[in-house]
Amino acid sequence: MKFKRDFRDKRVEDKAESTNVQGDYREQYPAYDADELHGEIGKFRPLGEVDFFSEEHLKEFYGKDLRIGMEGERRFFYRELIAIVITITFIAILIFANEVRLR
Amino acid sequence: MHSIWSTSLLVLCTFGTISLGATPGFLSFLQFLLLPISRWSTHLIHTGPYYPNVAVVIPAWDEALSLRTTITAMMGQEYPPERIRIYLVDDASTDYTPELMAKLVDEFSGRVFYLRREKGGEGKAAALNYGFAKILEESWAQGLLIMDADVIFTPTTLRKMTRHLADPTVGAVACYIKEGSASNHWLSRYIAFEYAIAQAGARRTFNVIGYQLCLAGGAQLHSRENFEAIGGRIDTSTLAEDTFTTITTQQLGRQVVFDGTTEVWAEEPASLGSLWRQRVRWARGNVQISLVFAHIWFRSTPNTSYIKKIFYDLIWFSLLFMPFLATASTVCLIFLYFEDQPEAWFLMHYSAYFCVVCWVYVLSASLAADPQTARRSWVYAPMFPGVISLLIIFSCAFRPEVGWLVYHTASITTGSTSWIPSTNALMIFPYSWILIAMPMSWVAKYLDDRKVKYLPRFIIFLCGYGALLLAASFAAWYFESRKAERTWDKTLKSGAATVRV
Repeated sequence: MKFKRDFRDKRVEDKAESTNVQGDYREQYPAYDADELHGEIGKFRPLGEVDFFSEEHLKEFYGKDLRIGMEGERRFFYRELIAIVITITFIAILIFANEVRLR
Repeated sequence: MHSIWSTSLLVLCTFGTISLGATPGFLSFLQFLLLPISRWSTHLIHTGPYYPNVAVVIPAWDEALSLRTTITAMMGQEYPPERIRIYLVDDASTDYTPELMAKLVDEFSGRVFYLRREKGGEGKAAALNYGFAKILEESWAQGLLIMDADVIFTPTTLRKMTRHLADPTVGAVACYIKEGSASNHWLSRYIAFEYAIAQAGARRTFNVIGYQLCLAGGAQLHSRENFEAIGGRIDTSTLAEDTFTTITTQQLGRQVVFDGTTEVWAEEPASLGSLWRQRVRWARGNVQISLVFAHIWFRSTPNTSYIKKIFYDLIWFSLLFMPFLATASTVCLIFLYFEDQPEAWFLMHYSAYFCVVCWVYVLSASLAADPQTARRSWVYAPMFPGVISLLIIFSCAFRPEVGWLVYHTASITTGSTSWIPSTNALMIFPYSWILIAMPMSWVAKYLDDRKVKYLPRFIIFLCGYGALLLAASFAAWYFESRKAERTWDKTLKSGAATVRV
């Protein structure tokens, strides 16, 4: 019984010590690989290694995020327009089906 | 005399059926029509390169399985490392959490801090307040990030959130919390789609309205000024501490912004019982909030026009009273059916017509809002209302003689009609389905609690995930009416959350 409990505790401890992120998102999140600015900076690094975060870089990140964000908003708008077109098409089918039935 | 009463009752039932039943659907439809406009009301154009010192507060009660991933993800933020500090508030954990926290403090020395409460179990808000008391003693923190122990931040999320605080009118920022259970089980796909509706879709519409419904408790960023203005602590009087904070912030004249380009991932309940307890807690919190903020409803606020605020309030109350509205409209419809069948049918037909249109639009708009979730949940998303509800609304919208159709199909298939109930009885079934679906979904939860395999999933597939949420709302009202104890039911997590590509 004790062995079983110890084994369970060890398993919980092992799991608690593991992480599916491993300090580097690149394996989990390859979408970021395409972004040359974000190449290395997602890794955990100790204090002091702040070369990626100079004021100049930070402004650059902001500009890039903003451009990506605005482009995302534009795409979002078009996707929502498609949703409206789908709905209008569906309403037309509904009306047509009922008209045919009534005849 | 009798005919006058009877006619009045009929008129009342007709009116009741239309207004009560259609209100939530109609408001959702109108609300989602705002989605394309959200492009022009985006707050992105008011942002700036702002990287304040952020104190991250993570309350943890037996969260050993999730913490390491959460902390590692936060430490890997593409954000100046010296400007992030994490405060782990151990809410008297009894598992491996304290040891793990101690290791994390060593590992990320000077950036992760460990705070231990000896008396736990008082809820998340109490643990958070313990952390805030320590943080606000110093002047270091310029922003406060409240997050759950199982939430994984993607690398750019924090800086995408802080950029909104460059605008001094913004008090708090919410991000898109996505369902990130690694196992990708059936329930997680329903939840993923629900979040696409409630966050990727609805929160953007609230940006347009200018008044947010709720900053998700799992990841919310406040400016220090705002947090001190709302009292420097989280409310403990309700079970919806995040909604309380959201409304207080907005009532004090600061904006709450939802940034749809940010992503964090969280593990959500893996069983119906766990989901039920979580939703009952949320719904109870909303009932409590409605009473606590009784003085703000149907009144304008500093940042929102009167018309927009009225629209917001109508959405709030239609969600709050949805189980009652659905029940009342069904009762009216059944009464009408026995009194005046053609009129009942007329209403049923056009209600179904309207439901089909709403379903198509809300479904396609939500899936369009988050294509990744659309790919993951494309089978479950259309089944959100349940297969039977869909069959009813589609057949009623397209083919009026549903009873006739069922009757003759059954007679042709079996060659006999003696076993089939009358058309009348068959027609009652679609009229009253929602009243059957809610208890049935509770039965699914009951069976799931007792580890019955496959059947709960099948019942939810038939009755709908939506019916389960309605039933949970009913239960919340019941517990509130009984003044049940306000206990904080922790949602159990396995630590298997992941970032999906």
